[in-house]
Amino acid sequence: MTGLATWALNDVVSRAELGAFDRAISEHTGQSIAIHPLIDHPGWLAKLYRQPRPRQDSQRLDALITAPATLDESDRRTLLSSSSWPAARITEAGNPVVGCVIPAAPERFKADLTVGRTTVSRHVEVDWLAKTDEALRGVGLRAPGDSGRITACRNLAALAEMLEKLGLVYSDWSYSNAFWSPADRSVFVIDIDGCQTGKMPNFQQPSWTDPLTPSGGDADVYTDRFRVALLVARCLTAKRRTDDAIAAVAGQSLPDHPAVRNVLLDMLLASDRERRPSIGQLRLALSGGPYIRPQPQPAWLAMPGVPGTPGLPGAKPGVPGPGTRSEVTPQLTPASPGPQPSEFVPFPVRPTSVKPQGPNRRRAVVGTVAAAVLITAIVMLLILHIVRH
Amino acid sequence: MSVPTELALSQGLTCLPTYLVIDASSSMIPHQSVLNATLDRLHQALAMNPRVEEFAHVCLIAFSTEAHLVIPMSEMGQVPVMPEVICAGSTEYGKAFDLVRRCIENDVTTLRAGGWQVLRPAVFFLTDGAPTDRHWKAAFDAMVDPSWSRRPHVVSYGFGGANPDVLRQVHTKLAFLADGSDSEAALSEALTSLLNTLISSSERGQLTLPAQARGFKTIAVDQEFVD
Repeated sequence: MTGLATWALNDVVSRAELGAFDRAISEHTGQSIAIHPLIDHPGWLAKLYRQPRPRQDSQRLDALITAPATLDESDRRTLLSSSSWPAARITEAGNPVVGCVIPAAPERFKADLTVGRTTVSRHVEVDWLAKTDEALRGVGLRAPGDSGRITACRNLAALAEMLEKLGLVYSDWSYSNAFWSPADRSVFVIDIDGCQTGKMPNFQQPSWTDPLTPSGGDADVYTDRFRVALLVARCLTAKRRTDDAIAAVAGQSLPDHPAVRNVLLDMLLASDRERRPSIGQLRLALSGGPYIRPQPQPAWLAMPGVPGTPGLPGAKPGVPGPGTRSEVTPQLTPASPGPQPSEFVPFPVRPTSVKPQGPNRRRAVVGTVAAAVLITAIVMLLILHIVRH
Repeated sequence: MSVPTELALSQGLTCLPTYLVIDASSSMIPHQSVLNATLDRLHQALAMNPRVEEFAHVCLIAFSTEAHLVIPMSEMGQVPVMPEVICAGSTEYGKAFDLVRRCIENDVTTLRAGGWQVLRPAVFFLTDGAPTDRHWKAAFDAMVDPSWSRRPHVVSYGFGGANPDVLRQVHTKLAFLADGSDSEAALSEALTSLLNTLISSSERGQLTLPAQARGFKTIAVDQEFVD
């Protein structure tokens, strides 16, 4: 990671204070009418909004600008290095919200793409991660492989987790709003300045529809959980169709990240949207950590290609049983192509026939040898006692 | 609630079969290099944008005395390089429309079999002259026949010697006629307009047409579009 850029002026600046604007790098996209580089402040951009703005927009934007200060140093660093977090609100006479100042995406998110006889340098959208390694090599991009995909997805989830911690809703999770560095697998999420606390208008994009967020309703943290999981599923598996990506997650083996599968499937398939695991749990699983799965586990929506969902072979009941116990998907449990019955059984009664792996296996061997020695010693003593008498 | 949620999760991706039908008759010879350079640019722009590429599956047809299937329905990322179009011959509109109809019939079937949700196809028709065949209108009418469920939307761009009276008949959505100042710029702008149409359509998951194209005047607009 490179050092963080520091905005030199105040949190609220007039348009005149910013000095000259360079030619727009983007026009008429989303809520912005134009995004201009600031000539006097290299690395910073002025994002100018469509007008008029909603009431309370200046308070919303100011809250965003000051939010990083509420985080600890590590989280703040994640937030500011991985997103175009707004640094200042731009005003002019009679208008409290002309736009905002945001950092430009660092150069490491650019790469050369070659198509036919032409090579151009451009920011690499996370869209490319949802293509196969072969397709990436075809345009001259460094192929990430499974480990590179996991790292990039972990970085994406880490940023999304920060928003979740701050109680912010992003809603617009999709291919187009994040860049990815093929060199170091870091990510950079844009359009952060549209975030709102608690809920916000639901961005409807084809193929990013959350089936459980009512049409016409607001997006909330649970909508974000679904969309982040869908984006991660697509980037991990290089499958772009929702059903293909979910089926591929169900069949994917990630021995060093065994909890990823169940976290993603619960986020994508839970029939109760409020039981979708948090993005923090996803980030933990992508870091190789466990999944503390509440019991009874969330019932799943039917999903062709995913055994274990209702109405399909291997289906489990919608509600396995009462109780609030948690199941831990241990770090050392190998992922398997299909669901194992034990995955749907509360942790305390997990069948013991599963062969222990790694340190657990060593402990089991030592225990078995010790027991054998002890039993042998007792038998020898008994024989000795019988012989003497 | 379970039916719509299951459908939403199981839905395939949406695609727009896009037919780029270009006039490659002898009248295009002066513009041939611009035409090829512009096709290259279109190819690059689509192949470097995965989500537009997967939405707009493109078929390239060139026509003159005969109609030629230059690139069958493809995602542009699968096309390594654009072939060069060398212009010659007369301007047989009818053969082009006949070929488009046959391609649509096959392509929609193939796409559906591949799990795609297929939108009504879109034909972008570029011409710099008037038709030299006498029965072209019957072929056009057959292609857009309301009783044919796969009939495409048609947007036409005319430049150079294009006949505005003919162009008004070769559209179902929009017809643009270059303002006449610079045919080569108009050709380039027509394909830029097409590209922008595909980008904005991919964002919305449906055909989204511009009301205007730079360097062109709009000479016909279908009522359905206005509404």
